[in-house]
Amino acid sequence: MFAYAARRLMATIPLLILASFLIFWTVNEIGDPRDKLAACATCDQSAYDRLVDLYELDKPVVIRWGSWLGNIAFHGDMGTALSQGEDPVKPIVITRTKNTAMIAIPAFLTIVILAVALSVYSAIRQYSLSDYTITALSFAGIALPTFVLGLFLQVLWGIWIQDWLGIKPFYVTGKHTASFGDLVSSIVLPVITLSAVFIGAESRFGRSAMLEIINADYIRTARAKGLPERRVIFKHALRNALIPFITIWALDFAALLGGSVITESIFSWPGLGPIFLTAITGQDIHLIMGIVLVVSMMAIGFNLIADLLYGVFDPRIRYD
Amino acid sequence: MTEIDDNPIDDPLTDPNPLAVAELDPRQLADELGDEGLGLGTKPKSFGRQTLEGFLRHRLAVVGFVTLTTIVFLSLFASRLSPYTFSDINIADRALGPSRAHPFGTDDLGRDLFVRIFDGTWISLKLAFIVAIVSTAVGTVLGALAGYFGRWVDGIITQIINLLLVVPGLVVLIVFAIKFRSTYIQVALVISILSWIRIARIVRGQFLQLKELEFVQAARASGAGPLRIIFRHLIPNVMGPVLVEITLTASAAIILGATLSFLSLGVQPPTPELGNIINEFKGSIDSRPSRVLIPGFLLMAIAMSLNFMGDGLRDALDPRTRKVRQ
Repeated sequence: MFAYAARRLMATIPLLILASFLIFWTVNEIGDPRDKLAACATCDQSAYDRLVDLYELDKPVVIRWGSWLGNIAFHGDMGTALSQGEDPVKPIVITRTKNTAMIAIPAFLTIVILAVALSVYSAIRQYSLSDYTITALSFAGIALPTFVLGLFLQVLWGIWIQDWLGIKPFYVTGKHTASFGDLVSSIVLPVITLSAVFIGAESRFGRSAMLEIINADYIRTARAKGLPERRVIFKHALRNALIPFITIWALDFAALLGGSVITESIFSWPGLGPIFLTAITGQDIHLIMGIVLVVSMMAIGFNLIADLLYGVFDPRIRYD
Repeated sequence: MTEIDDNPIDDPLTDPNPLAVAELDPRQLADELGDEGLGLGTKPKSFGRQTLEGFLRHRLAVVGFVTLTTIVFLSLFASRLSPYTFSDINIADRALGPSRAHPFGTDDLGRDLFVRIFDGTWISLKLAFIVAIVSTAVGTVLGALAGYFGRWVDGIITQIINLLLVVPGLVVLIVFAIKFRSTYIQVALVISILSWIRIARIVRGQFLQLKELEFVQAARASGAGPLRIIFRHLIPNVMGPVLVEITLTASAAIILGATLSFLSLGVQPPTPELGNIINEFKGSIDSRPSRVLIPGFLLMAIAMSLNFMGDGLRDALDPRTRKVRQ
């Protein structure tokens, strides 16, 4: 299994390097950062020369990409962020990833619990009113654009609920850390916004996975030998229905940890999403590359973990 | 004759069977047999006809189709039916709420929002349509080549797909959108950079199975070249799953397009588009929430209709869920 994991990781490295070059090159195509520096009113010639020298802006893109890659590979140095007052990239990315995780982890737990509960409920009550309600809501969750949901929740909780009831239980923007209660109250709305699409998609998926298993022969056997229904559903059916969820959860968790440009921007959450937008518009190549690298590595890592877990939970799968 | 959905716009919640996993109703079957019989004289129904009937039996799919058609007609004719155009400025009538003259109200320049929002919907729809066409064409051809020829052709195409899957989607889109944004056609092409992947993978998978079947060998034995086999014999056989995927791609594309515009990285104002309309009004959402919620609702309605249609097509094309009636 370890040999398999190592081989998989080795196969991804060249892809990651190639992808990093393509992104470096594309970002370079957006425009020349020197134009922005030259237009800067407070910069004098020496500051301009220093920045051009620091970021090697007078060199071809391949060279700049090469020295960026070399610094990471040999010194673990991700460079400095032009748009953040030349602060080093690494601490920025680490802080931002932590902030993103603060809403990504609760969102992930919400998704997992609700998606499984809704799938089981929908499947054991197939074609009932509640099944249709859940199906309709899942479709709505998938189709509702994140930014519409986010804006709607802000108005609902920030304005309407306050007008009607005179209370404002949740913060509608920003991260508030004065107390634990404040922190919880400021993550509630971003978490709901982040979760909706995933809950919709996963409960659709889970419903069909669960239905397929409920109609399988071994479930009939379990019922026939007189097991209580609760045991049949939760021990025999659900456990098997969860196996295909492993891949989906890994991909979704990686996607959540990668930061949400939309949700975090709407709720002014200081995560990876908004700073990525800042980096892009500021042509801050080192910061862009740093974020892309971290996010891609998380995606690759969780994908691999999912494949390995698959083998643990489904003994029919063997890696060699 | 066949009884198909006499009341297609039923409420999905009270509808006894909106998912329409076709079950044989003995009474209905008896009626049909009485009419047509199953004798040798009966003309078999064509594949297209069976699919259409399967689709029409799927209530939610019909609801989706009707909703989408209505929205398409409204967005086509809104500016022709209304006395205003999307750019008519009338300062005297600025920032009005919904009224008879302006069903959705006006914006801060006095432009009629009914016309503006539906013109925006039309742009969004065209954008999704272009993405669907481009990614279907690219995805089908690349998937077919990879699946049919295998070896190095497959190797290259699979590696391109893996490459695009390594980096997060929105990141790629934003980087390209900054470079190429402006018209909806360019935004559509940027979105297509990623959206062909799913179709290519599906077509490739199908080709791997299909190319081993006897009818392909027969075609090859009778002297058909690889291109003829791919385009005449194999691609028609994968059109079912591709058709399902087109609706889902279009639904994802309309949301992605609006998302990019919402970040000011998509279709640029003054061209109206659902996402940039929402972006324009998000600041005044507390005083006039309808300006954001109406375009948001339209986006959701379009995406949901397309998803329902995809679901219906999938059921209609799947021989296991299709009512067996020749």
